[in-house]
Amino acid sequence: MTLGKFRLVDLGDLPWAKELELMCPVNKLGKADIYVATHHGLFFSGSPALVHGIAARLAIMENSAKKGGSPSAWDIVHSSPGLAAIYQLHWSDEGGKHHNSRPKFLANLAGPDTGYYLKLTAYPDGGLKSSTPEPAKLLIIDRKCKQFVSPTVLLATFLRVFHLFSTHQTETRSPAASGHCMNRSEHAFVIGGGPAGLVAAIALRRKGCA
Amino acid sequence: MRVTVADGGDAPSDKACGEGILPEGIAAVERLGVALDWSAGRACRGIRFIKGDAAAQAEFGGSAGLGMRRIELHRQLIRAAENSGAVILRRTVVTGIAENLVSASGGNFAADWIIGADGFRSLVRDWAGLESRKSRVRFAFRQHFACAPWTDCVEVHWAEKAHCT
Repeated sequence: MTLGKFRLVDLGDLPWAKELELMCPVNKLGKADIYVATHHGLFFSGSPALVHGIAARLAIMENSAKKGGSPSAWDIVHSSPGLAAIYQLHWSDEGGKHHNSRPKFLANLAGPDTGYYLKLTAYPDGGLKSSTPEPAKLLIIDRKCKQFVSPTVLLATFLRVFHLFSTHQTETRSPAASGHCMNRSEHAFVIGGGPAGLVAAIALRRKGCA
Repeated sequence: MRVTVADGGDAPSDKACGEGILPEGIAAVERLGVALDWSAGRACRGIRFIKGDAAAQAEFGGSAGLGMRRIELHRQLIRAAENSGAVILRRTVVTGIAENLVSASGGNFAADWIIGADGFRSLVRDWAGLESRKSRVRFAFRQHFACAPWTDCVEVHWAEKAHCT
């Protein structure tokens, strides 16, 4: 598939033998920007001749937890020259800890399917953007535990002491300083149903803004 | 904003704690539209520290604090949270968080915001890779006695290696 200078290779379920016919003795496909891992990333597709021959900038593996994402196929893609990242539709159970991309490159993490998708935007000049779902923002309710007034301190200060932490950022900062507001359509998940969590839940429902 | 609260235990829950809210805490929840039921507790005008024959006392500056059983405070806040529209999941143990996901015993939950309100030794803090807050182990006990109040202050009695509130 081409769009101006942009090129994407998706060979469906082609096995190694048929892939080789495209690559040997001459590479009939040339280079590509995107490689959609053949046959969901199963071990009998995605030969080194094909994957390394097209030398894609990014790979997309349309695997499920139980189908595709074979460790050997993942290794071939991972070692492709010039490849920046492998985006996976799901965590691969077979791939385990060492043959799966980092969470930011997974649309759906380990566990029950959450139905997230990958979005690729290609431009005729060969530029592209790819993304996984926006990471959640994390707030920690950080009470200074004074032993005899813990609920007091917690209730009095919870809005002032929690920290904003994004998994894509390394620093912690005060939400008051960041002025970060929450969108009404967003979902907040509070871990902990004690007084701190309940007051946070009420604040989020009533104000929706840190 | 949709808000879900998950907790591994039943509610309301009891624990060893001071069981009181200072005026600043009361003002904080009132700003959120929560009217605490004072009839379930008792107003406190100050705090007194006592060790042997020595005592130090200070008032809360005109506003009253509220002494209340933790279980009662929890009950009232649960009611207020439910009235605000938050969904509360009890006996739901959270086992981990990912970029936009909370894994719990009831399944995975997509989330735009994840709020760690799981206490001083927060697992959420650990999962997020924030600095750990481990501290030395302390022991606490609670016991309630049915008797007429002898003071309108919170009293903290200090011994050599312990204190009683």
